[in-house]
Amino acid sequence: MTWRDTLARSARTLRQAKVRTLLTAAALAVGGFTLTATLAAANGAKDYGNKLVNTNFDPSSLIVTKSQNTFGRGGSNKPQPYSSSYTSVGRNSLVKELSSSDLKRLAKFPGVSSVFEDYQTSILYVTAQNGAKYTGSTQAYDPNISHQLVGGYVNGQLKTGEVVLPQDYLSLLNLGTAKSAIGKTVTVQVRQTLGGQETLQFKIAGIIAAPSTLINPGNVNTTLLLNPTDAQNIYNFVNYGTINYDRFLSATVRVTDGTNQSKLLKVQNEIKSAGYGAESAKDFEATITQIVNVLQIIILVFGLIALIASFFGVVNTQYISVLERTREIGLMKALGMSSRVVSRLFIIEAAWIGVIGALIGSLTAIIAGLLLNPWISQQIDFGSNRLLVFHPSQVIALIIFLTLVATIAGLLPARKASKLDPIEALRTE
Amino acid sequence: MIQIAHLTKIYGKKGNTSSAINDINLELPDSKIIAIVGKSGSGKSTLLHLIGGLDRPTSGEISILNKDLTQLSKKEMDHYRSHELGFVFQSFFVEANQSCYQNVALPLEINRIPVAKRKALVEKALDQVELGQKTKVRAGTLSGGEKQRLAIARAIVNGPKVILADEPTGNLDSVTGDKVIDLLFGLHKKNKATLVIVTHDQDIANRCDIRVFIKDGKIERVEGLAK
Ligand SMILES: Nc1ncnc2c1ncn2[C@@H]1O[C@H](COP(=O)(O)OP(=O)(O)OP(=O)(O)O)[C@@H](O)[C@H]1O
Ligand SMILES: [Mg+2]
Repeated sequence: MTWRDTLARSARTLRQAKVRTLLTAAALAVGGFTLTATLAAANGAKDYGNKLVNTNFDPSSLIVTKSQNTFGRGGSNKPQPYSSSYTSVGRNSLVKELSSSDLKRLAKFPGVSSVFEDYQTSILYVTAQNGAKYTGSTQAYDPNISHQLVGGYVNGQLKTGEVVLPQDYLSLLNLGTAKSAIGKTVTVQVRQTLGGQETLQFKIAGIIAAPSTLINPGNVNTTLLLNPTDAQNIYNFVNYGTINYDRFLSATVRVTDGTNQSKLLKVQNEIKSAGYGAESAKDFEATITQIVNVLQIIILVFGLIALIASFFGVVNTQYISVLERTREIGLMKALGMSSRVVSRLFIIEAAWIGVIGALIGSLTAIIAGLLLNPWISQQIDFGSNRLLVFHPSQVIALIIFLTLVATIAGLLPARKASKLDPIEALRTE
Repeated sequence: MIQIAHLTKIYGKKGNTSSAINDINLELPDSKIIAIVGKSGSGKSTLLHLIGGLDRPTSGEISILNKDLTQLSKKEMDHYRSHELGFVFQSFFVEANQSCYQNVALPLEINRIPVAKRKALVEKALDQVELGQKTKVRAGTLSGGEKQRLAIARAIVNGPKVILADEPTGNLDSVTGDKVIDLLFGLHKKNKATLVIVTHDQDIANRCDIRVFIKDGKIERVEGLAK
């Protein structure tokens, strides 16, 4: 019997037992649905994680802190030995900060191309011609992060006296559209911790969208981005005379050829062994991915349980089918069909069940995913991002995998069929 | 020619054995109609199964068309059954869920006959048993006589040299049964394949060229053999 005839014949047999076929396939479909959805959710979460990291971190730099404990902890609730690098954060936590001598030291590490301080500073208010005053903060513009500009264009670094303004200020300060605001002037009022005030003027060079992926959106949506010199001046002015003067919570250390992971890692390890904390974009990504992975494994386990159940479902169905068709099998063997072909017929039947189940499961998952995606995104504040991202290659691989599972489930019943004695089978009335 | 020498078939395991065929010697010429006659349990079906390569003898030799069946491998035996033989059984072994066409096409599928050639062969076989109009009908809906005719069409579709029929009229009323026998005899006139019919109907036996009477697994007598 040719493969073509074998395929056609087993498909015909299944068509004649539609209900049984569909019910068996349904069990596989549940597994297929869960696995397709899980994979899609993992894809979406990973994409989101990537985007999150790429819009917040430059992949070729490291975020360096004074101590390796800085990340993930606000401070310590136990008495610590005194160090001159301690700064208070809030009312009662202490954090070690980088000093300008640390920055100089960091700049000298082999492989480091530049060191970029964190100049985040709270300002008193920002205002424009309409006179409305709004709070905010200033920070240095980092040309290596992909900023989502909705108005204006920044080529490389900002010039001194220029500002990239978050979109939210446009209507508050009556600045018009993102396009018409370019070139207009905003006034920034800063206040020293020790009391003095200063008024500065900046020309709008760009408008930045409220990004859909930000680790701390509340902060960045109110951050005015300036040329580093301007940002540094404000920082130093505000903190003049305080413990924060010339001290930085973190610095961005750019690595030459840092997109090369091994080079980045080498510099990272050297900085770490000097006692600093150093995290790369990858590390932040890993933290996000880790959470995603745990969730993924949990759902994957459920999918696999469904799959095991459907495995035995296929075994059972095919076994009963063999018993029911004893006479038919006997006839085929009496007519000279070889045991191998008989076995192949039943294996292919099981494979068909697998294909049907996998297709039903995957397609329902995809359709449900595409329909529900906007709603899910809304529920979990995902903005324009989609949680369920289906990769065709993955879906195809999954369908092949499920077909394989069903095929393996069909092996034992097929063996029984092929072992049947035609005379015995023909005797059964 | 069918040559059988010291053919013995013993069923059961040690201590509890019974011989269904007991040291049979027989030579049957080609292109004849042969009846195997005997009471129930005499070993008729067993003999037919041995000739048909469905079963293997315990001892003795059996050769058909110059093939020593005892020497054939499993694969060669499958080939022998699918290419040289046609089977018709007592209870009409048709695949009830398949169409008449599919039923008759089965031996051709097994023999890997290309699809293009199949249609003509199947239709010819169905015409010969007067089922040409029922190609697409589900076999399960046919009457008993029609089912047996369908089984005959399936038996002749691959142009076998030997057709083995085990009580082909056993489940039919006498009128329908006669029609089936007429059909088998009519086909024999055309294709000259050796036709072996197991029967306990004396009338049918009398119409055959050769009659082999079996009793308790042994040959009682043979009629019609020109010695
Ligand atoms: N698989 C088997 N195991 C044990 N004994 C068997 C087996 N097959 C047949 N027999 C025995 O062998 C003997 C001959 O059986 P066989 O079927 O050949 O008889 P038969 O002449 O065809 O009878 P009937 O006219 O009823 O069909 C019987 O006694 C039967 O019980
Ligand atoms: Mg019998």
